[in-house]
Amino acid sequence: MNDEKYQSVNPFMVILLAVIVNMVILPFTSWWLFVFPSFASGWLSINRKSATMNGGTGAMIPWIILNMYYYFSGGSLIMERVSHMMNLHSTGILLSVSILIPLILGGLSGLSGYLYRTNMSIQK
Amino acid sequence: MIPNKIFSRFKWVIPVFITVLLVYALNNKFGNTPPLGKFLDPFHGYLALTGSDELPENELHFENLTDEVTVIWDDHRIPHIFAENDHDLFFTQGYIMAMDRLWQLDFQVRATAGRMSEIIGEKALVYDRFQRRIGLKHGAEKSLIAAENDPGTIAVLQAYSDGINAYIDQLPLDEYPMEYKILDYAPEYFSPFKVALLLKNMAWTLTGRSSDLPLTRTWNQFGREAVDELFPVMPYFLDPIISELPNVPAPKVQAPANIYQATAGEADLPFKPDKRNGSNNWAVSGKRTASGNPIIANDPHLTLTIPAIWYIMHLSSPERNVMGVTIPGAPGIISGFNDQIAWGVTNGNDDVMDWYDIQFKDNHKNEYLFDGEWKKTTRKIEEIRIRNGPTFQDTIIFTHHGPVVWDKINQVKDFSIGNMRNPTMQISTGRALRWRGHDGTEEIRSLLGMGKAKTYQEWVKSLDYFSCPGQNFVFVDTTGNIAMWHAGHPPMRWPEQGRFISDGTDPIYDWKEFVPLEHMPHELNPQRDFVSSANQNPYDSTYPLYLSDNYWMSWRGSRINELLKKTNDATIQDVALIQMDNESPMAKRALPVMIRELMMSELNPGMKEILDLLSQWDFNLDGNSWEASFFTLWFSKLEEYTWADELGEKSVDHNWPNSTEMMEILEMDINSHWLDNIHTAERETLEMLVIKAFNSAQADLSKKMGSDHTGWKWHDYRGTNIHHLAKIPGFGAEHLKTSGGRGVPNATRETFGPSWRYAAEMGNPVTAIGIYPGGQSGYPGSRHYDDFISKWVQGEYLSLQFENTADEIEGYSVQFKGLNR
Repeated sequence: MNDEKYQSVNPFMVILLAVIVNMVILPFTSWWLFVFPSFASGWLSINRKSATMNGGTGAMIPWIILNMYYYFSGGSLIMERVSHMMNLHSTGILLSVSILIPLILGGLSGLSGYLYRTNMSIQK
Repeated sequence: MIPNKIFSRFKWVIPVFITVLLVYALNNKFGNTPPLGKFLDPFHGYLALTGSDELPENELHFENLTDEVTVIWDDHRIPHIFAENDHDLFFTQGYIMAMDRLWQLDFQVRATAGRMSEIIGEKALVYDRFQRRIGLKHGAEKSLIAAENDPGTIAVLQAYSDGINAYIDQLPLDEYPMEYKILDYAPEYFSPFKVALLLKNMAWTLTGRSSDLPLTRTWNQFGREAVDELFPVMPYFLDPIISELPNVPAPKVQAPANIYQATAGEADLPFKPDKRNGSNNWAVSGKRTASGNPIIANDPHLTLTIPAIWYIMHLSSPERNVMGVTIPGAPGIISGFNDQIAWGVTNGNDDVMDWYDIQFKDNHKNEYLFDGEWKKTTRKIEEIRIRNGPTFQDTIIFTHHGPVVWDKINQVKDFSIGNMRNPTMQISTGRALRWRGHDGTEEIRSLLGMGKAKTYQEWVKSLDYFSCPGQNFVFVDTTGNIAMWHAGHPPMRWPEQGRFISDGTDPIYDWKEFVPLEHMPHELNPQRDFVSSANQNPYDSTYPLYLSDNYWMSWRGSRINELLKKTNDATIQDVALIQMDNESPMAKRALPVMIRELMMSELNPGMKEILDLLSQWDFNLDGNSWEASFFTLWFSKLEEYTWADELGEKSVDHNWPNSTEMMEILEMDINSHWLDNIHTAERETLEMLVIKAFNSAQADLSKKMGSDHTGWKWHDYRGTNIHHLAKIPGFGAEHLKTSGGRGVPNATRETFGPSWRYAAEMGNPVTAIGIYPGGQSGYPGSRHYDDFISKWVQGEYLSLQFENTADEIEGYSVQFKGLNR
């Protein structure tokens, strides 16, 4: 497996880049398009574990930032109502459930990116 | 088997496939679960609505406005709209209504039109079919034609719709109200037809009820005498609305020699309206007030929801300066006041719905017998679009009477019959429905006219356009007049016409003309110096016309009249306070008899203790009272033991008589044969039933709330829940510790009650107070979503700012301007 050129890629920078891209594009696109930056994060990762983590984290952080922003800028009441609607009865649990979505989908996309790169390169 | 090499190469496809699958699942609504990905997405989902209830910037521009409009929102988020003409006024009213209640007005119209399947799928199909088959659309189309024939009305409807649509046009997708995100659909443009539809829905809510079927069934099983004994046209206890009836000529309507007696098979579902619900209004003349100005009060009782049915607005133009409550989706003010007059409404309860037996020629149902000839039916096909399903086509057969609502037995068996307001319970299978709401009535024209009326005469002229739902309109003006009108134009009936299922082949059962307004019960400045109504009989036996046998009991009305008789030197607060009165006249009369009967037996110490304390009860259905819980349950058990053996379970086979008829037994006929349980060998007496009911009530309460009677608090036993309009969990206000209940002025119940309380004093200037259980904003994250509720529970009111000019109103001001200004 020819992974040397990805060894030097800093995972923190990969995540940061994904977060920035997500923060820039997601206000104008469908909610699920974070899977592409996550796929790219996985592509740049050195193994499956870091690909999954980088993909998931890069997608999750913008959701956390916005959830916290809205919570502290007048959204706490609606979060509480939604948590009751979803039978969670806690904004903390609601937040956790919310960020599971980008975490899981981003993680899967990251893994996809990594596997795509590594599996396709085997054949070369 | 996939070769290992190929599997290794395409291993990445597996997580990609799972990702795609998850994205699809999270992007779509399944059952009641919203599309979670879309909904929880903080960029575009529900959180994107944070701050969406903020008021607009200082200036807004619209193509449709001809002049400048000033809107001032006060601290309660009540908009005060000041326009230079009526077009701009109603355009702005529509815009602001959409701003705060877009989802509600859109949802209500779709629900009325039978289009819920488009939103929630096939499970709403039965509901949608019912909505379409009762002919609401048919009636709305006729009302729209009537509106189009009056240039003033159609102009207002169009301007109002344009205002709503202007808001929709500028609403970004991310800011669609919360419910759209949960239910995953989008708003639709509004139109004058939708206003007409919404008003037909209101008419159905208030008049879509009939006892034709259960009374026919009771007649068939027990005979006509039993019907007249259990369900008398004039009840045992009566305190009518009108104290001084007008001189009305006797009707010239021909009655049949014998009333048609239909069969009423087991497959038909009866409907029993709950006569414990209702509304109040009254007015006192200046002779009874401290200031010398007349004072009006009104509290319509309806099912309570959030967003509330009402919205407070102040509308001012050179044509009108009017304030009160409006229904989201209808222009103008429904209950309120202007600078000269004030009015309020309670439901009139005239019988405006009849069911007809139809004799079809054959199973094709192309022809039916009428007046000795075969008449042709017509057919309408309704297409019901279903979310994630094929479109359903429903054919409705129309006779000249109206639609055959259901043409097969058990068409609605899968629909819950537990809800007393469930409209599907009112069907009568295979029969044609004639409803006053099928006609092109002009209620919106009436209300718009009232809003700008300056005198009693002008107001009555507007009232003449109000046909269905018939209402008891209370009136006051600044010149000192007070009046009550049992208004509307119900069919002119021969005595007891439409009381039972009618013969659809005989023209004598058809509606031929309608009662003119001047013949309806009314009074102006009566000698007692007050007027009041609480849904009871508007008249006594001296009134020559038969309008209904279906009025509410007089308990509330009698208590209101008792308090009004004692009202002198009253302030607006004194007059409004009656709305919060909890004393039960029914308990006051029934309890001593029940205690007397109980004392005839030997009591154990526990019973004796409860009885001693009950003897000292003040008959108030106060939230902290345990006696209210005990008496209510005790009395309802007594009713059950009296009626259930003959009449079956409540609301299943027969209606049960009203509590006034139970009271007649208690006070006048304690040896009534109805007290005997026909399923036992011995003959039960009132004493035996009272003891049995007492023990049963005590056991039930102990089981439910513990053995300590002081813990049986009324507000815990009954309380009030205000659910979200679409019953979305977490979006309502539950377990409210309310007082009041059936048969008392403060008719607050589990999910039903005073939906708007207001009072106005007709001085110069007019002063007014009001409140409804909810809040002005429809956004569940807004502090104005439910900020009135705690005040409403406590019996507090908002002071309503009502001035002639924008400069005098305190609040946040925004200018609405045309594009070139």
